[in-house]
Amino acid sequence: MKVDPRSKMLLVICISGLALIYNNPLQLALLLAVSLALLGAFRFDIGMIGGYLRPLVSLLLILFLIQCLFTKGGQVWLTIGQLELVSSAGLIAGASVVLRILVVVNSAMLLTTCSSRDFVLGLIQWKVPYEIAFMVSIALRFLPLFRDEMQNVITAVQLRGVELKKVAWGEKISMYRTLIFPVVYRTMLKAQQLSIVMEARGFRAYPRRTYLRRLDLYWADYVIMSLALTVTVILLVGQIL
Amino acid sequence: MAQQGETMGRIIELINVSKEYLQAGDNTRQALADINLGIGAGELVGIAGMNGSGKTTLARLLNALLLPSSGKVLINGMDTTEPGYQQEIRRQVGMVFQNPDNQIINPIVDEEVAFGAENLNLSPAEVRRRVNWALEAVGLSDLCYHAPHLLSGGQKQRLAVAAALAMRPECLVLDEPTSMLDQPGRRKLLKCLLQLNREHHLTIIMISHCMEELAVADRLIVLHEGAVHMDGPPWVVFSSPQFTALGLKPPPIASITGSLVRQGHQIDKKIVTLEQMVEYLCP
Amino acid sequence: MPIIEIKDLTYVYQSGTPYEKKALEGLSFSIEAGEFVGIIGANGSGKSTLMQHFNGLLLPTAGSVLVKGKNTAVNHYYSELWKEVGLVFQFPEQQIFASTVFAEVAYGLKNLGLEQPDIERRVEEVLHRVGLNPEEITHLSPLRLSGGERRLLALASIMAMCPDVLVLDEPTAGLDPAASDRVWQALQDMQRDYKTTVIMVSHQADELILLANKLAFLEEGRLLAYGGKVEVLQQMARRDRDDWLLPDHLQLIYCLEDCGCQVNTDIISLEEAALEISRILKEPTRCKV
Repeated sequence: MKVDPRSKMLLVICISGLALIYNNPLQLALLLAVSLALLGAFRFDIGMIGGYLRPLVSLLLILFLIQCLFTKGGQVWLTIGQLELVSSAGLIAGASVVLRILVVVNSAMLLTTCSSRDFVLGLIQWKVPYEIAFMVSIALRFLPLFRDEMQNVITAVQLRGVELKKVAWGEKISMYRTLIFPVVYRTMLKAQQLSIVMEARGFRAYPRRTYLRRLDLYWADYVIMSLALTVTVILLVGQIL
Repeated sequence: MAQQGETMGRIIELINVSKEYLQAGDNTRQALADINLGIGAGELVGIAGMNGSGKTTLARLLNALLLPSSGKVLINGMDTTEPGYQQEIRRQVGMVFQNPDNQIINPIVDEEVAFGAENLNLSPAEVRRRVNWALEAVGLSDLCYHAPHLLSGGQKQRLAVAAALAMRPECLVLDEPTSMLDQPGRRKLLKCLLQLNREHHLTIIMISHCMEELAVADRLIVLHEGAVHMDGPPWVVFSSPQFTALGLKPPPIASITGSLVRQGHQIDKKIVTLEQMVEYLCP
Repeated sequence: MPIIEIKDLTYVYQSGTPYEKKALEGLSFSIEAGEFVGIIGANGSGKSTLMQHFNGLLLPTAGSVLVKGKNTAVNHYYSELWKEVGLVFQFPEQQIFASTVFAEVAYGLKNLGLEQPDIERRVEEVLHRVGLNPEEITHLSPLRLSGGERRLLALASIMAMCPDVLVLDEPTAGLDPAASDRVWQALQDMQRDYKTTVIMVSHQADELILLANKLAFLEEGRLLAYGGKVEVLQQMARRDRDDWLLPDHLQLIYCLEDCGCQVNTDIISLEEAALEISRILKEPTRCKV
């Protein structure tokens, strides 16, 4: 059963939208479960999620701590002298922030289950201008390139004996600052080469262009989209009331 | 210098073409200086030269990716500096670049080939026809629905050729297409290009560092410091002392032929490729 | 004791996943100190994977790699291996990250713990070695150099660390004959002056066969031949003609042999090949011409 990328896009919008409105960790956890279930349903390799989320762990931890420490209210769990450090409101706020980010990231993964080409086609058939839709797909294409260049430079540094794990935080930041320049430069070079190829193949040569394939919506798509919209509206209304 | 394009219809003409680049500190670098060149329909032309001799600049001038600082570049009579002609020029002169990975735009092989034809606003049926023809011409029909990034380097370059072919160009310009390929990949690409030239009469202009490849061309042009220094059949160019004086090395077979000729053997001076030599020694 | 010893080396990418791929299978060979070894294989033969085992960037899935008698799997990369084995990947200019030429070469030297005067001396020496002029370029940004100069700079950065073993992947890919010659000269000088063991990985035999002492032929992750140049080249000629990785002059010799000509295949250089063809032309019966 092939699901149109537009259905998936709608699902992502609905789930992310709800995540932004919900404040309760319980509701957000449920949303997370739903997004994970959907990923499984669309045959996304759940094992890969760990790989995507690992770089975010430190960021999530920092956000959790900030929310925890700066949101006060409810039962106090940790004090140092007179200072109230951790309260239940803080814990709830921290958990909410973390879960919200996880929900948004996971639901965005849904979009990777369709090819970037289908994604672009879907956007175009929804009357998004071709250039913008194309920009989105090229951006998706460039993320792994960026990562490859980063890996290249990190290997270069390793070859000169620098063990990144053992570098102190302050020095690590200054090192990344120096390293980011060649990464960005080289990625931009690739982008430039790609744009030359696109120009050579007549990109935007004429005001209109045709498409080899068409995406059609099937009953499954209509079911998914109407269910998603209905459920979202109900939940939104329930939240407001 | 005999200009072979004279009797056949010239599809590419460079008239007093110069190109300068601005550099840091208000310097200008002269990439090309007063080039006059004509290329006829159906020719297989090789372009050689040291790094910095202007080969890549020349290639980019041929399909209006770059415009000359002075002089004119005419493609089938159309001036590349006229904005109205640029799109048609780009359709007529297809380009293949050096890095196989940086030329892939789409995630499926047939869509990659279709990209150019789609941009020309042709009917979907016509696009599909052209895609099938182009993939057939480069020998990649079996891989129609594969993901381009999983192909080998040689296959990716043939895919780039197919993507250019889908626009039905009159001429294909390849800028060091084999420098990132291994020998088997290089051989297959060359075989494909030769077939396109001999059977489909596609004009091909190939820039390369690999003299073995340029040996199969009808004509070899050598650039040095932005000027055309040599222009003639490969066997003439390779055997001239000017060739080595320009910092280039002839291919092994041409060297062997040269040394045999010098020793007084009755060997055909025109032998520059492996196939020719094997054919001659062991028919 | 050989400086590098490979025993039954097997390496599998992403083992246990659907993307599992056996890149190397059961390789065994050893390299003596001071040798120049060429490893020839098509793209996908595993040569780049093998390269990264020499300095422990990759560890074997099975089998062992011993560098100076020590097993790379005992994880001493950051204490010793990175100093003993220098790696130069293909298109090394893509890994240049410092803002000046001096800083680029000095980076590894600082990590080696050298004092500033020593660092300056080594930078100057190694730049001369690769044919670049230190006075002109040490203060420049690497981006101001030409492509060929950047390649030489990247090479110099690793050479400056004076590793016992230098491993390079296609160091002359895309270079002019002039720049290529500078690279070959620099490698030979390192071999002569510092007794550096040089291992070069390539998909074409052309230049390598003249400089190397020994050759290794890799195909689809397996070592098909290792040892003297002539033997390995003859082994390489036994593959399908379409897959040959030999230079044209050797392809000619082997084609003539296939044709039924009586031809001497103990040949390596272009001059020897020319001589052989000359002999064939003088004795037409050898080739039934």
